[in-house]
Amino acid sequence: MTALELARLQFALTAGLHFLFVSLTLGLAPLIAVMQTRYAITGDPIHRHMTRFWGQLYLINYGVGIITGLVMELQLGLNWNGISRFAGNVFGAPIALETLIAFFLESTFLGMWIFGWDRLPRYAHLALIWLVTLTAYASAFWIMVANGFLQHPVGGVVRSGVFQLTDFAALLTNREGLGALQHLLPATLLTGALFMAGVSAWQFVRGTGDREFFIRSLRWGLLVAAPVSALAINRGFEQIDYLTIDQPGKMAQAFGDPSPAVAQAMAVVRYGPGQYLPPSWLKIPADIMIYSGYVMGVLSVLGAILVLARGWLIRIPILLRTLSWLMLLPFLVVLCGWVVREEGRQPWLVYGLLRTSDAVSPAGLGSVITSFTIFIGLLLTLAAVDVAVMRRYASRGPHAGGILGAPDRNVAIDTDRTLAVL
Amino acid sequence: MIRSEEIIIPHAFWSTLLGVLLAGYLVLDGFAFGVGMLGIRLGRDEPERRLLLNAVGPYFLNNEVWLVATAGILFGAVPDLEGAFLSGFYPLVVLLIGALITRDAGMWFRSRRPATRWRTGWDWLISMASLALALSWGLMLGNLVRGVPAGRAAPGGVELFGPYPLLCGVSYTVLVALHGAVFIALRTESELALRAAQVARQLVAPTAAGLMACVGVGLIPTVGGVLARPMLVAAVVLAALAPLALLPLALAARRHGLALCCTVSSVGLVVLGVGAGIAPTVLNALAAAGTLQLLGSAVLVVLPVMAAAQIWLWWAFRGRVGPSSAMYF
Repeated sequence: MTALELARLQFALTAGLHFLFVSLTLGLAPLIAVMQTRYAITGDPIHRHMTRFWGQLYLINYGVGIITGLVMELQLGLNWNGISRFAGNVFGAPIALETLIAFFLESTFLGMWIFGWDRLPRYAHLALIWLVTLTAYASAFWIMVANGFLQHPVGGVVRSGVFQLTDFAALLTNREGLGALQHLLPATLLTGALFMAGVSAWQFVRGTGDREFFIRSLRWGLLVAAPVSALAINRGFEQIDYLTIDQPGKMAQAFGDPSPAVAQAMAVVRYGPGQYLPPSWLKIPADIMIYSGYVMGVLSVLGAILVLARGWLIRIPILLRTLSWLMLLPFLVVLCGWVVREEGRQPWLVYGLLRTSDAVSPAGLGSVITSFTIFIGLLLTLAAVDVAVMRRYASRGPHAGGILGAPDRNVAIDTDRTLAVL
Repeated sequence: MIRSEEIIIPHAFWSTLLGVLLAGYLVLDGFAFGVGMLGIRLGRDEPERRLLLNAVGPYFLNNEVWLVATAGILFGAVPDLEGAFLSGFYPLVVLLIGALITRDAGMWFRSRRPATRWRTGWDWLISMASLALALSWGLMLGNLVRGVPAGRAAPGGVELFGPYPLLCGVSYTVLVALHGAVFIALRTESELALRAAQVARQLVAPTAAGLMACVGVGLIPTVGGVLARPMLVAAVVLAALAPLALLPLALAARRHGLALCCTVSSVGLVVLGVGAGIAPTVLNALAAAGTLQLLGSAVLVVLPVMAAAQIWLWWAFRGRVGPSSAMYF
C-alpha cells in the first residue's frame, strides 16, 4: 500500500465515522428542540422526560462527532497540504467560517444547555437548544459549501496554479453544495426519527414499562420519518440533472447513464488524455442507497398509519421487531450516499482542477502508518465504546437516571436514581 | 478586489487574533489539564472527584472550542503556515491529538456508568492523558520559539523531542499543574480546596525556576537553538514571573480569585511571548486579500457574539461548586 492509498483510507475512515455520528446529531437536535418547546409551554413532565432521555442519547453521540471532526480538520493539513496550497484561499474560508460561526457557538450553547437545566430561566434554556440546532445546521451548510467546491469548483479563477476567490456568492449558492444539503438534511432527520422509533419499538419488543413514554416517542419518530423519507428521496433524484453535466463519470459508474465509455470520452475532450472514471463498484452503494430509501419510505408511512390508528402498531410484534432493526438502515444509507458522492468524485480532489494524487503531502510512508495506526485505533475504540454506552442507556429507558444538569429536586422520578449513580 | 468603502483590516489583526485565540485556549484548557493531572491525587474518593469534575464541567466544551477556532483561523487566513506547521511538527501533532482524544473520551464516558471500576479506570486515563497533553503542548511551545519549519527543513522526530523542547515541556506542565491547583482552590470548598491551595504553594517556586531556565537556556544560541526575536520573546516570557511573585501573597490571603488571575496572566504571557516570536512568519504567509477581507468581516461580526456567549457562561457558573451543582462529566 502506498502513502497515498493509506492517507486516503485514513481520511475515508475518519470522515465516514464522523458522518455516521453527525447524521444522528443533526437529526435528533430539532426533534429534541420541539420536545423541549412543548415542555416549556405545557409544563407536562412527560415532555421533560422525553427531552432529557433523547437529549442524553444525543449528547453521548455528540462526543464522537467533535473528536472525529477535529481529527479530520487536522488530517487536511497533515496529509493533504496540496489542497491548501491550491485552494487554501477558497476552501479554507468556509471551513474557517464553519468553525467560528457554527461549531464554536454550537458547543458553547450546548455546554450551557447541559449545565443550565433547572438553573437558567425556562425560556433562556429553551432558546439554547434551538440555538444548538440552528448552529448545527449552519455547520452543515458551511461544510457543504466547502464540499460543494470540491465537487464543482465555482466562484473563482486559477491564476498561476492557485485558485483565487472572485465571487463569494457563487461559492455559497453552488448547486452541488445546496442541492446536496437539501438531500442531506431530510436524510439526517430520517436518521434521527427512525432512531427514536427504533429505540421505542425495541422497548416494546422487550416488554419494558414506560408505555406512555415510548408510545409517544414512537409516534413522534414515525410521523416525522414518513414525510422526510419522501423528501429525501425526491431531493436525491433532483440532483441527477446537473450531476450528469457536472460529473458524468460519477453518474456513469453509479447509475449507468451516460455509459462509462461516453463519460470517459467526454472527460478526455475536456481534460486531455487520461483515465477519468471512478471505480465501477460505485453501483453497489448507489443501489443500496436507492432501494433502502424506498424500503424506509414505505415502512415509515405504514408505521405512521398504524401508530395513528389507535396504536395498533404496538400490538404487532413483527412490525415492532422490524422497526427496531430498521433504525440501523439510515446509517448504512448515509454512508453509501457519502461513498457515492466522494468516491464518485475521483480521480479528482477538486473536480477537473486538482487530482487527489497531486494533493497528498510529501510525508513518508512511515509517518502516515504511525498516524494511521494511532488515529484509526483511537477513533474506532472511541466509536465502539460510544455505541456500547448508548445501547446500554437506551435499553434502560427514561427512569435509569443518568446525570444531566443539576440534580433534580422537583421530579421524584429522577432524584433517587440520580443520587444513586453519584 | 477591495472596494474603498470596505473596512481595511490591518495584517497585524490576524497575527494578534491567532495569538489571542491560542493563548485563550492554553489558559482555559490549561486549567483543565492541571485539574486532570492532579485529579487522581487530589480527589481521594468519589465525592471529591465529583467535585473536581463539577468544577471544570460547565467550562469544558467551551474551553475546547478555542482550539477549534485557532485551527479554523489558521486554515482560513494562513493556509500555507498551517500546512508547514502541521507537516513540520508531524510526530508532535500526532502525539498531541492522540492525548486530546483520550482525555476527551475519558471526560465524555467517565460518568456514563455508575460502576466504580469503570469510573476509576477513566479517572486514571484522564489523568495520564492530561499529563501527556500538557507535556506535548509544552514541547510544541518549546519548538515554536525556534520558529515554524518551512517545507523540507523540518526537524526530525529526535529534534522535536530534544533537550530544549523537553525542558519547555516540563516547565509548561508544572505551570499548568499550578494553574489547575489554583483553579480547584477557587472553585471547590472545604478540605479539597485547602489541599489544592497547599499544592499550589509548593508549585510556585518550581514553576518560576522552570520559566527562568527556559528563557536562560533559550538565549544561549548553541544550546537552545536560536530563538526567533530573542529579546522580545525573553522579555514577554520573563514578564510572566511578575504575577507568579504575587501568587504566594494571594494564596496566603485566601484571595483565590486574585490567585487565578495571576496564573491566567502567567500562562497567557508565556504563550503570547512565544507567539510574538513567530508573528512575522504569520504575516508572511497570509492568504489572498479577497479571502482575508471576507473572513475578516465575518470574524468582526461573530467575535462579539462569541465573546458574549463565553462571558455569559463564565458568569452563569461562577462561584464554588458543591455536591448539588450542575453536572454532566
